[in-house]
Amino acid sequence: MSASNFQSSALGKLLTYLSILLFLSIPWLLSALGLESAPYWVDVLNNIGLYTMLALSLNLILGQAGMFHMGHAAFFAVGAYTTAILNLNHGWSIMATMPVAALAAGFVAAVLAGPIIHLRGDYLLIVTIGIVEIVRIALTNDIFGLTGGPSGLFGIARPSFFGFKLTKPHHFFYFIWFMVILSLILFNWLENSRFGRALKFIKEDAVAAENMGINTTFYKFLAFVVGAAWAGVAGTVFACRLRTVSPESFNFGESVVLFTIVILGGSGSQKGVLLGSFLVMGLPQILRDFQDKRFLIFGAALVVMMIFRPQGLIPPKPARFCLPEPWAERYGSKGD
Amino acid sequence: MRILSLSNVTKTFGGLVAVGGVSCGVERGSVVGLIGPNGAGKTTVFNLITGSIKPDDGHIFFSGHSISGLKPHKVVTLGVARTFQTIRLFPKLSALENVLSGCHCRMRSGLISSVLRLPSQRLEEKLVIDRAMSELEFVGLARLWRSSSGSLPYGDQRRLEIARALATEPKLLILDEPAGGMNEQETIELRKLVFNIRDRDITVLLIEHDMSFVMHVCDQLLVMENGLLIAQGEPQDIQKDPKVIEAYLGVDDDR
Amino acid sequence: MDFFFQQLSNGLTVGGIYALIALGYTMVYGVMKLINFAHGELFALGAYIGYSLLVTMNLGGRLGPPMAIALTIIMVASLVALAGHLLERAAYRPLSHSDRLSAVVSALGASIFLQNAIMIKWGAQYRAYGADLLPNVIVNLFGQNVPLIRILVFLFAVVVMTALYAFIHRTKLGLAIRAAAIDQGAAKLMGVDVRRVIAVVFIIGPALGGLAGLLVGLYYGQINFIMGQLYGLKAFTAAIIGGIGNIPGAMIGGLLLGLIEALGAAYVSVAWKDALTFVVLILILVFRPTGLLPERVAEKL
Repeated sequence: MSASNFQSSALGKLLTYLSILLFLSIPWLLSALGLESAPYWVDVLNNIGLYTMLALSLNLILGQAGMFHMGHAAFFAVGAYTTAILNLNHGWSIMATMPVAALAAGFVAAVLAGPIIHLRGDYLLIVTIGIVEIVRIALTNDIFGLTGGPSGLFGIARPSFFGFKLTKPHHFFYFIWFMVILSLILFNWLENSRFGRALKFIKEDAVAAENMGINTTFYKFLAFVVGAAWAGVAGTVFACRLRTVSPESFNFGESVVLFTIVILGGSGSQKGVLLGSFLVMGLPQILRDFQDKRFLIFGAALVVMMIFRPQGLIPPKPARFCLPEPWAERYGSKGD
Repeated sequence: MRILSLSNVTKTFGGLVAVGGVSCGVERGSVVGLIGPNGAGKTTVFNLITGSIKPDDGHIFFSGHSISGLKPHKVVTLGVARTFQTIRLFPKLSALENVLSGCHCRMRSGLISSVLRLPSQRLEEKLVIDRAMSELEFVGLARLWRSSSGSLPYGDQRRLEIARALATEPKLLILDEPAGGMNEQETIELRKLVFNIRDRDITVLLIEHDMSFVMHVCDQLLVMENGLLIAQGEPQDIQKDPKVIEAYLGVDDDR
Repeated sequence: MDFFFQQLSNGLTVGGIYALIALGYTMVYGVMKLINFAHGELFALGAYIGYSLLVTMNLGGRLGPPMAIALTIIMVASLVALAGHLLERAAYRPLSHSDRLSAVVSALGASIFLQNAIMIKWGAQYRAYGADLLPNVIVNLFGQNVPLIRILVFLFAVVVMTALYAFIHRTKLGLAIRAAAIDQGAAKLMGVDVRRVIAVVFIIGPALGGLAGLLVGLYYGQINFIMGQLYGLKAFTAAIIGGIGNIPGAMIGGLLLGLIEALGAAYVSVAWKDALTFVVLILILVFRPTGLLPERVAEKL
């Protein structure tokens, strides 16, 4: 490793940490500037954060395992309703519902995945769309008498940590972006593990992967369930942020938004997903001045972006490995 | 002792008999060649052994286990690894990552230890890279570990596929036309490689059209024609077998 | 019995409409392996163009209903075909060599664009077709009273589908389409102008979809700008049930879906009608992973 290489990577790290710090001080900066719309923009950032969490969990399934999954809103819904029901009917605290929301979403995914996991590309896509519709209709029809029908459930408690209750947008900002950073770290670790590599091999060539001893069905199943469970966690965050859940928050359109974030950002790339969330969730807000034309512009922008960056805005980089000795000495230590 | 034996294995595709009641065996520690004209059903036999397709009838035994009808990854775990006639590497991934795919089935780390980066998982990651590099060095590709496999020359891709298969720690290695597309120099190196593999106590079963290669490296030959096994024995006897000459060598003597 | 017959005839009518839309999905998919997510919007566009011609411009009053509807059919088919062609040129052709999922997102973008364009042009509220366009006649069929419009809509769908089937199987261009659907590369090598095939498919499919939009307007009497989403999804489901890429499959899938919905709403539950569609879809795919009349795919090792 050359000295300049070392410096640039150290500088890069410093810059990354500085920009994270800068980002985390945005709510404070906005209010310090005395901006009237500060809470609104913090709320926009909260929304972006929530969708980043969701898109990262979808990225595991769609981006890394390469399964055409367009029904992620279904698992998000299961998580959100689990939190709402446990909190409203049984008085659980919000944070206590979070693991249960994850389990519930993971369980639903596991039950559904069994019969559909073997479907090829577009067949899986339509089935997952079907699942999201079935879930939405089930919620609308007040299934098991638990979901409150079309108007949903309201009055969900706010989360509190050691007696501190989150009430303002900037409280949620730190809560949500902590969850985003946690997601980034966990999914990054997962990607660079035996499990993550197995998904990569399956995405590249499932037949070759199976013939190299990788249980392709099992790993696709696992990716589906883990991604769904994390969407359930995001559901908890959603439920306590808005304090209400209703079927329309989890329709096909929401699944499409998540799908778009992952592919537009760069399938399988965490930086891409982060950027994708900012664009897909942020752009319509920035275009607010165009009023009813903003989604027209947004749709056209999606087409143009895909034409100019068909691999996504930030495609995934090859994995990096540090060779242990004696290999490093013989064949060079770092690979890009 | 037989490491692999097929008894009356049959596979038909829509009325066409691809493999018709083949019975044969492979001795442990040997290098066995499966030869025959194009369309004889050789690759189908490989696909049957490795579990890519299921036999209609008959049984396949590998070191005491019945493996007929098992899924490919199970067969690999039991100790059978393969390469493909049409190279099937992960072209976008580096040579090292390709070999790591073979290491997968001998690793232990699960979801929990990965997501929490437990010390056991990090240790295993280190060991597995060491192991993959050894296999790359064994086939002579270690210096190319970071190259994407799709960018490698043809002969190197064939050897990388072998390294990837060896990383699964097989007892039986199945090579589908390993010398295909190789030049003379590369073919000679491949011969040495096959002997080195055998010296690691790995049995080798291979399909190959290059007759001089087959005659040099194989201890035993199996000859197929039209889905049937028509002869088996030592290379020099097979060369003299009139049935084989008629079916195969006579037709394909330009090789 | 009477009730059953009403549901049956309603199901076949709706199924005919689904089948017309599904044909556009399946033809495009067959040739390009692309789910044209904007197809539902083209369908809605057809409904709105029909609205402009029949209601805003009052063609019916000027020309008399038969002439007006004939002219509307021609105008809707050609204008939506033009829109489909432009869509292909703008959103899909530049991506023909890219990853399939990027084309899917481009299609989703085009769909959002078209839906909002329709909303801006025609407004977000419901629009009503005139009730006096088609005679409100009840005819007696097999001893049952059936509204004439049902029979007309169904017959229209069947005639168009039969014509399409003949076109695909009897003409040289149809042969080219079938060849490109089986293997684009091989078709190219055999001298098939695949670009032209794609252009043709993107004219026929949208034209049929647009006509289906017009039929919905005439049949139900009212339209809205998001109708493309639900109908598109249903028709795409129909195409998948039939085996996507397969033209007779789309017809069968469409009719089947229409029947399932009508009978499901009548005998199971109205509230669960849409869910039933997808449950059936999942069940069919679990047992036949590539639909009822599948395309043939072999994995070579």
